Amino acid sequence: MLNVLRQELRAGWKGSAVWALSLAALTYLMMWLFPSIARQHAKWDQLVGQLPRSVLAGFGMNTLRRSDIYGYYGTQIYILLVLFVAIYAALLFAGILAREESDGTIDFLIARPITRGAIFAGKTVAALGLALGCNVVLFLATWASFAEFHTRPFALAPLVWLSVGLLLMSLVFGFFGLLVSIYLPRPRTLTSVTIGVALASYLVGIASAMSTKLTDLRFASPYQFVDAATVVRRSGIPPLHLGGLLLVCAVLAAWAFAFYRVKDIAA
Amino acid sequence: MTPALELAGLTKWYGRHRGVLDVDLTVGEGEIFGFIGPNGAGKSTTIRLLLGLIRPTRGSARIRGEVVTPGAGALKREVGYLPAEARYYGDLTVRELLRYSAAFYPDRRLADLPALAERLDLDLSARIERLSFGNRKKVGIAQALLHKPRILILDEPTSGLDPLIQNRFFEILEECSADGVTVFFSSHVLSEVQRLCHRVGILREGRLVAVEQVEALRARAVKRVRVEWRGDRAWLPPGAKNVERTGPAVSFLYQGQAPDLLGQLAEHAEDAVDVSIEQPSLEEVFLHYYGQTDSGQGDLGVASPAAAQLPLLEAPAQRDRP
Repeated sequence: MLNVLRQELRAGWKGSAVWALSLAALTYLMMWLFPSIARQHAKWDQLVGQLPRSVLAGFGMNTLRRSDIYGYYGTQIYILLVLFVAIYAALLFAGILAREESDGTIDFLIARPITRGAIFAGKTVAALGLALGCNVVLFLATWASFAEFHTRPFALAPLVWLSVGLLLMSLVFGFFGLLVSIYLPRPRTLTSVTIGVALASYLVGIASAMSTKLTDLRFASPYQFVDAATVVRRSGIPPLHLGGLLLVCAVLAAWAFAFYRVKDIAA
Repeated sequence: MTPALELAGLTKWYGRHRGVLDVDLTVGEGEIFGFIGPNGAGKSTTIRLLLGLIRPTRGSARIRGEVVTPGAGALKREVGYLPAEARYYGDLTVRELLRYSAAFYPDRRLADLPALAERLDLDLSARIERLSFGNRKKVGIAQALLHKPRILILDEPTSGLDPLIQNRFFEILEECSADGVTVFFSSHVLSEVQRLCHRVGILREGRLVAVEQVEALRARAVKRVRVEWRGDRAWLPPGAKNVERTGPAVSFLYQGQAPDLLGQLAEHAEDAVDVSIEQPSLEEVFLHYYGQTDSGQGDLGVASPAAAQLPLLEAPAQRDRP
C-alpha cells in the first residue's frame, strides 16, 4: 500500500498545488477588495435591499452583511469556494482509480503482489492527503488575507469551521466521485457525471434556500449543511450536520471499496 | 507435485458474449506452454482470469495450488506478467518504473538490471511516454523478469519486437525454463510456439480444442505452397489439399516433409516460374486440423473442385522430348 500511496502523491501533488494556489490567489484577491467595499457598505446595502428576498436568502445575503469580514467572505467568496473545492475533490478522487484503467496501467499494478484492498487504500489515502493539503493551503491563505485586510478585530473560530466546511465538501464529493469512477471508469463520462452532480447539487441548494416550498430539497444538497450563515452565526457546524456528512462519506467509501474488491477490470 | 498452473472448468461470460468455456488445463513446473488461437478466441480472457483481473463465471484458476481471486495478492509474488499492450506511467523513466516495480518485492533478490537492459537493448533513462510500442514491450519484458518469478505469464509477448530482440527474448525464456521457471504464453504465431514450447494448447471460439506435444504439431508439417507455372500447365503433388488457382499460380496445402516436396517439385522445375513455401495461417491450421468432422478428429479437408480442372502434366516418362 505504501508504494501505491507514494506513487500517487508523487503523481498528483502538482495538480493539487495548482488548484490550491489558484483558489488561494482567488481568495486573497477578492479579500483585497474588502476594505473598500466595507467603507461603501451603505451604498451596497441600499443596492442589495432592492433584490428579492428569495434571492438574498439563496446566497445567504439576508443574514450576513458585507460590511462585516465574515459577511463579505461568506457571501462573496465562500459560496464560490464550496463549489470549486467540491469539483476539485470530485475530479481528484474520481481519477485516482479510474485513470489506471483508462490508461491501461492497471494490468501492471494488479500483477504486483498487492491486494485490491491495498490498492484502494493507498490511492484513497493519497487523495485524502492531497485534498487535505489543498484545504490547508486555502485556510492559510484565507487567514492571511483576513489578517491583512480586516477593518475590525475578528474571531478565528468561524474561519476554522468554515474551512472545515470546505474540507467536508471535498470529502463528500470526493468519495462520491470515487464511487462513480468504479462504475464508470471512462474519463469523459466520469468527468461529466461528477462535475454535473456537484453543480446540480449546488443549484438545488440555492433553490432550496430561496423558497420555503423547496426547503426539503436541501437534503439533496450537502452544501446546505455547511452554509456560511449558519456556521458563522453558530461559530461551528451543527453536530448533526457534521455527523451526517461524515456518515455519508463513510457509506460512500465503504460502498466503493466493496465493489472495487470484486469488479472485473476490463482490458 | 502441485502443478504451476491449473484451470478447472474455467468459464467466463461477458453478459451474453462468451469469453472462454470449460477450459481444463494443467501446466507443470518448468514447462513452456504455448496457448494459441485466433483473435477473439479467449487467450487474453484466460490470462486475465489467471491473474484475478476478472472473475470466472464458473470454474477456477489456481497458481501453485492456490485459487486465484480478485483479492489475491501474495500468490502473485511468484508471477511475472507481460500484458499484450504494455502500458505504463508515461511520466516515469524506464529506470523509475522498474524501481517502482521492484519496490513491491522488497525481500527478493532481483535480476541484474543493467545486464538485462543491455540484453534487451533498453535505454533505462528514456521517458516511457516517448518510447515506441516495441520499446515499451521491452520495458514490459524487463519488469516481468526483474523479480525472478517462478511463473511467467506472457500475453502475445513478441508483438512489436524486432527479430533480433525476439531471438534474445526466446533465449531468455529457454534459460528460464532450464532454471525451472514455468512459462505460459499466448500467441497467434505458430512458428514461435513451435520453436519454444513443450506443449501447445489450441483455443478456438473459447474452447480448448486440443493440447498437444509440440512434436506432434511439427509432425503434421502442413505448409502453404504457391507455385507459378508457365502457361496453363500445372502439377499438384499427391495429397495436395485446399487448392486455389489464380491465373498461372496454384496454391495448395501440403502435408509432409519439405525435402519430399522439393524433390517432387524439382521433377517439374522446367515448368515452374516461381515457388514459395510458407507456414499456413492459424485459421488454416484450425480449419484443417481442428475443424469438425464425423470422426471428431482433425482432417485436412477435401481437395478443391478446381483441382480437377487443372490440366496435369504427363508423367515424366511419357513427356514429349524436345
